[in-house]
Amino acid sequence: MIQMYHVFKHYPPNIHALADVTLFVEKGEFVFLTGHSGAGKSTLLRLITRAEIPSAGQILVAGRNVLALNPSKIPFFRRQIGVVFQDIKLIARKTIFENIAFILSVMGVPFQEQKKRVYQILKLVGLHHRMNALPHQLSGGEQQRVAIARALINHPPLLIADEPTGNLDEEMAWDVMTLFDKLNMKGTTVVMATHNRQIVEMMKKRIIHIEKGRVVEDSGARREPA
Amino acid sequence: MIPLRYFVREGLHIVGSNRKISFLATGVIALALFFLGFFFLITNNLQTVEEAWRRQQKMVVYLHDGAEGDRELLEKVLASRGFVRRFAHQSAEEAYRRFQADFPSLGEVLDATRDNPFSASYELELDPGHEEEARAFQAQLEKTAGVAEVQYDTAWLQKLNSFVFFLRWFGIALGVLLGTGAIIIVTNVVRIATLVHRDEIEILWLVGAPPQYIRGPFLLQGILLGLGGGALSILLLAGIYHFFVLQVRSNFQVLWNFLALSFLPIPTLLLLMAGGIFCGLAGSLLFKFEEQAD
Repeated sequence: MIQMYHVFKHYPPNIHALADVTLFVEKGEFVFLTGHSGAGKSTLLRLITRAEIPSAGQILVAGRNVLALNPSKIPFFRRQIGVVFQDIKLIARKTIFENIAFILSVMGVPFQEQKKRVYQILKLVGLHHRMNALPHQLSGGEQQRVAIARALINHPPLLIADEPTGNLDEEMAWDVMTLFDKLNMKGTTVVMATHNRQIVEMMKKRIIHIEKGRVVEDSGARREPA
Repeated sequence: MIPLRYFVREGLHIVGSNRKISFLATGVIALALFFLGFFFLITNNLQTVEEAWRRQQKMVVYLHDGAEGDRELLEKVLASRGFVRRFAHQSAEEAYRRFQADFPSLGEVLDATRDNPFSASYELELDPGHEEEARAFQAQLEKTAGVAEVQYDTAWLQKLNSFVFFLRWFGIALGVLLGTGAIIIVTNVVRIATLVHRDEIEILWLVGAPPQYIRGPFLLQGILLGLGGGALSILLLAGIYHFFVLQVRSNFQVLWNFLALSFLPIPTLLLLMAGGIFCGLAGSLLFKFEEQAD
């Protein structure tokens, strides 16, 4: 699902966010990216979604060379990736329903179908009764669940999550992890950045540890796909 | 399929959330269109006056004293020209009587003269739009037996026509200049609006919204600003026009009858609205809208 070959990312003047990262994530895997703040986890995730482009190296996601993507194809590419952001990123003036439904709207899904699907996904994260609330009327944990619902509304084959449990209490964090685990069991590839050691240890999934922009440990390193 | 309802809702939100700068842009568009419309208003009315005068334009053929014998031939010549709508003969005596009737206070001056100073003449009403032919005809008539003088003065009408032409193009040039300024301002207003909404735009990029979906509301913002500017300019023009009409009608009745003022015709008003939309849309389109991928 994800192939990264000798990927570097520099920021001017002299910041090396990632250095010679090579890794492979297979379809259906659940991978934790761990490391201290500033280690390069978020940068790596942003490279996968092509929110940023690498200074050097190649990245393939679902068989597509991310760097070679025609700009007009980028939106289609991103719709195949569900993204949960560290800072949640909900549109403050839109209701919970609108925050999720506009993903379907850009895909041309009819409004009645949007209502049905948004209700179902909100029920999955336990927030179907808050459909008409605004983000600021929800707790941090509830907002994060809305962000997860938004990432999942499109049934993406790849889910990227950047510290999705960072703002949640322990119980809520485990609810989210249970949800991710269920999705993974249904075939969704999950790549999640976190520095929550307890979750990482309890989940017993593959761990890629990054320090100073380099992969220093990979509990389940795969060889390059044929 | 791009949902128009979404564009309209978001476009209105963008305009509403940046009220001060939206008002500024609308004002500048309105100003540009106002000047354009103002010059159109003046030139349209001047043109109406010019056309009315042109329609009333006459050629007067004065005859030599005692040239009554040449009338038959002359009338044949006059009747031979298609653009001569009608002609009427006026004898020297009739001219004398008309002068007395028109200027009774000058009757004593006439009485003092022993002979009738007026000549017999023909008054020709001409179809408008044949000035060149009429001038050639004037030259021909001047050489005709029995004709003393031919009066056909269109030089001042030509001057008025040139002035109207100059005024119209000056207005257009001023409108284009101010319109360009308005377009630049709209571009900057859109730039500011994208900065205000940068978080939302970033989310839209990241979740895979197509560029037209992200850009659409900002294009609509430009269109709304342009529509507002167009409407405001028309309101201003209508206000000024009606104020002027009221003043002229109540204070200068003679001038009012003479001018026969009229407001801008519907096609010109539609043109002003279209100009506003163009300024707004062009301003939005000029803003380079792309994702900031480092």
